[in-house]
Amino acid sequence: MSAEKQYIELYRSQKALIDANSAPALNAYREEAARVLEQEGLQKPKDFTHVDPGQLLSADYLLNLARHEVPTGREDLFTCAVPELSTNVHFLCNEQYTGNTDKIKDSRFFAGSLREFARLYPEILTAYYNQLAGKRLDTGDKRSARFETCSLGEAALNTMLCQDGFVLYVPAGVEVQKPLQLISLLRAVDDFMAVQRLLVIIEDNAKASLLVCEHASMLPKMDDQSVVPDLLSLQTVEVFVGKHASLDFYRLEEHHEHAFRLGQTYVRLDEGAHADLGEYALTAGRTRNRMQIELTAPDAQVQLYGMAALDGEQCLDNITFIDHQAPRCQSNELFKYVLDEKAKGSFLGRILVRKGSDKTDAHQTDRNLCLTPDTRMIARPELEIYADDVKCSHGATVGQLDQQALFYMRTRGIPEDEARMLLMFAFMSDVIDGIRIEQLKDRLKHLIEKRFRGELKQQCAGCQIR
Amino acid sequence: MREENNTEEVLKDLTSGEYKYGFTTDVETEVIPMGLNEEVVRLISQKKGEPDWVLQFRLDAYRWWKEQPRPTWGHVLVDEVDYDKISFYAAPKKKTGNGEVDPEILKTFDKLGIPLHERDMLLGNAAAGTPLDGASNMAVDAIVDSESQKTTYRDKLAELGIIFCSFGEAVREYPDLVRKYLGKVVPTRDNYYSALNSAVFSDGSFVYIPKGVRCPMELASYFRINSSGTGQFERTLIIADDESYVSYLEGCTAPMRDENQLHAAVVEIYVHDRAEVKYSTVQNWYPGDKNGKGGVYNLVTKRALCAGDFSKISWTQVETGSAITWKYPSCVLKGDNSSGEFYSVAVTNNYQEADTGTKMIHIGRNSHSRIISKGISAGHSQNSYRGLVKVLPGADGVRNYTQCDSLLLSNTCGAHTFPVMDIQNPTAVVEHEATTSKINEQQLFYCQQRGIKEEDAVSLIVGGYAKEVVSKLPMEFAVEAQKLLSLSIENSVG
Repeated sequence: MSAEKQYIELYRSQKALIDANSAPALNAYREEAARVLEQEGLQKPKDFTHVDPGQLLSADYLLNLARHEVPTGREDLFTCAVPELSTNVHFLCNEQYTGNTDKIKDSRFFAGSLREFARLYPEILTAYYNQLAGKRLDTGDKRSARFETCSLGEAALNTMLCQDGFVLYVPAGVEVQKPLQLISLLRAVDDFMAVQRLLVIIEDNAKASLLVCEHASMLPKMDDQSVVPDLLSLQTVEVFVGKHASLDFYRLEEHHEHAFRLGQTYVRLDEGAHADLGEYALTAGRTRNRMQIELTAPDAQVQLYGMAALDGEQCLDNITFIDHQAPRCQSNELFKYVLDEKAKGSFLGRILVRKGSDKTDAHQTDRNLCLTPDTRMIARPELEIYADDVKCSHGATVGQLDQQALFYMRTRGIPEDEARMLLMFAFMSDVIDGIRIEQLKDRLKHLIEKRFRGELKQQCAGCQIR
Repeated sequence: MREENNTEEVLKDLTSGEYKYGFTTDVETEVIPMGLNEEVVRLISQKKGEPDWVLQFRLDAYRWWKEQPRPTWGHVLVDEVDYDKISFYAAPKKKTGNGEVDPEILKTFDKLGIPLHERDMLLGNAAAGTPLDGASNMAVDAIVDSESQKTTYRDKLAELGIIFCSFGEAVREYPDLVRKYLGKVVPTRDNYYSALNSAVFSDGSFVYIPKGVRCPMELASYFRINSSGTGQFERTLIIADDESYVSYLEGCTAPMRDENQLHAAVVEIYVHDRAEVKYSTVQNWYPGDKNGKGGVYNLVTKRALCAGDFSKISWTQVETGSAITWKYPSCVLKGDNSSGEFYSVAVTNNYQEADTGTKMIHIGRNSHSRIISKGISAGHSQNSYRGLVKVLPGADGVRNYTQCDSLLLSNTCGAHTFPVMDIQNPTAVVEHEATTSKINEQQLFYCQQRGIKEEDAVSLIVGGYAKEVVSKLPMEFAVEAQKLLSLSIENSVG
């Protein structure tokens, strides 16, 4: 039986249990999602990518449908520290929201469990939930309709099984000063799939920043202590940024080779909205990120940064799609990969400028370093333009460290390893320089340096997984 | 307000950039019944008097093709082609018994400016205004529909050991050479259209340059579709032996018709050690009328294999015609230190759609490649660059540079770029750059300020924009390509 059929069957047989452990507002979407999944199926791998979602999803995983409580309290389980970065920390263990560190609750906005949010504010949830993930984007041209950035089937699978997750809801006019940090931990003692859902709503003139740190535990399997179980996170993120609102949204990934991620992020920006988005993979297992960013009204701006430092047999696909639907919008995309050992990376970036989106300013850059003969990098920077008064460019390079610079440093007495490290670090620096949270920027620089020195093992120093 | 009227007038004139080669020649033509099946394949082979191995090659291709779905990944909207409504073989009947070319055909080529009389060429007697106009030092292979009509200067070239003849003759006269190389660069099962071509291919050119010979003149093939309800499926094979050099040109035109005619060619180039091949195309198939009716579907497979060390291939193409262009002249750089170049200008106007680019497959060490692609879109057209740069694990020291620029001349057209880089060797240095913009208003203003009309200014700027590519064409071609460019974009500024 195909993977999608098995999931649908599982849903049908366990419907009562799934519904009971979630909220009615979320349950309302399941039937439709099952229908979509049946119709769409799970997408076959795209050409020129490394991660096969169908294959990842067809393995046998446990699901925590009955919502068994995670055994330990949140802070015993995990601490994550970015020095001098004062954040409100929220915890997500697998898909389950387990609490936060807020001493004084700020009642102007909501940050917390998706299930709770759906129970408390079903009408707000309904206005946003599944609005982006549940629909196929109409690109307005028959030719480009053949390309799909996000998979409808994968999103439907998420909607069908999703019980909990995280919500950040900032109502109009509210500025959240303190950055929020969401720590998402994959933790299981058998092969496990976490169906995660994130919903970020920043209403008109509001402002917030959110940092998501993703980790995976390395507990051994219950029945075989010598192996680490396969952990898969199936994540769907929907982000809405209202008129003249501002959002910083950074995602930091520190997985290990048994942790897989199939992530789909949908972002919609309204008039004059500004979003800074970052995808930082310090270590990845097998990861596929898909991002669909819509600039729906004039003067919206988006900055998208991506970074990956991969070694071992790690593999990472980033598939991005920036859709300029209105005049005078700006987008700037910068992705950098450093591939070592047998790592594989791919970057598929597509920019669409629709008819009438004049004065669009869209730039895309993808730069990659391959360090060993066993690495493989695929870059596909694509531009699709239907308006004439635009400035669009893309550039992509794949290469190695500048031998002259290396030589120069060595003549000045810098050991080769150190010189290489410095060059790699310099290569990555402009992806990090764009971050708008100063302390995080410093911290990330520190982490990347450690990463290149080989001192980073699955978690940032300061973070503890038990 | 006045300016607006002006623009409107200009737009109204949009049709005046007429297709010059849209006439038909009235000659008696032998056309086989429409449709495609094994019998048709056998009939074509029989008509051409081919040996059995060629027939088997065709049948093998046909059987595979029949099972394949039509590819749809191109950024173009190709209507379903009804293969039952196409005749796969059409040839002008020769009126005179002594093998001479039909005078009507001769007149046609005169009209097109293709010199088929060697004497005339020397006098520079060719008609004006065509791609091969005034080409004095050039051997021509002229092909109408499915049959080659005449190949000039064969004897002179034969003195040097160069073989330049139609493909059909080559199969008969040099079967060993053809058998050795046919399908080696573009295998039968390479893709849907190459398989179709392999099943029903008609005449094309065959070129063999022996070791150490530098071909003293440009070799040219001129393709013309004449009959209606037919397609053209030519096959060209060029072999450059060790340390040889050849420059080869290709031109094509078709009459204006409301139907969409199919052109699915295969070009194979095999380059040995230290040899160099320069392949230039000025593609000017009928592009359809201003409403997008009619026009040629140009779905071709062109590939060169740089098999030898230090071998070199250079593709230059100026694409102005065809309703649909789906074409990726590619280089397989197998030899160490081999090099591949691709220079392209693609102009689309009205409802034309082009999806064109190249593939550079680096297998040999220190192989290098360079891609310069310039797209110009006007009217309601769609113009895409699609390219692949692939570096295999054993290819150390590879260098690639890709630049593709798009120029938009109207707000109803589209310009797209779909490059792929697949790098499996850390020593490779691969760069890709692309920009898309409309005509620089400052440049336009500057020209107008100096009394140059808007239209001429656009033509001037586009000419400058395409210069990097056009300058790579042989001189005779370059002048005409430039003219063709300004003609294609004429009145498209709005």
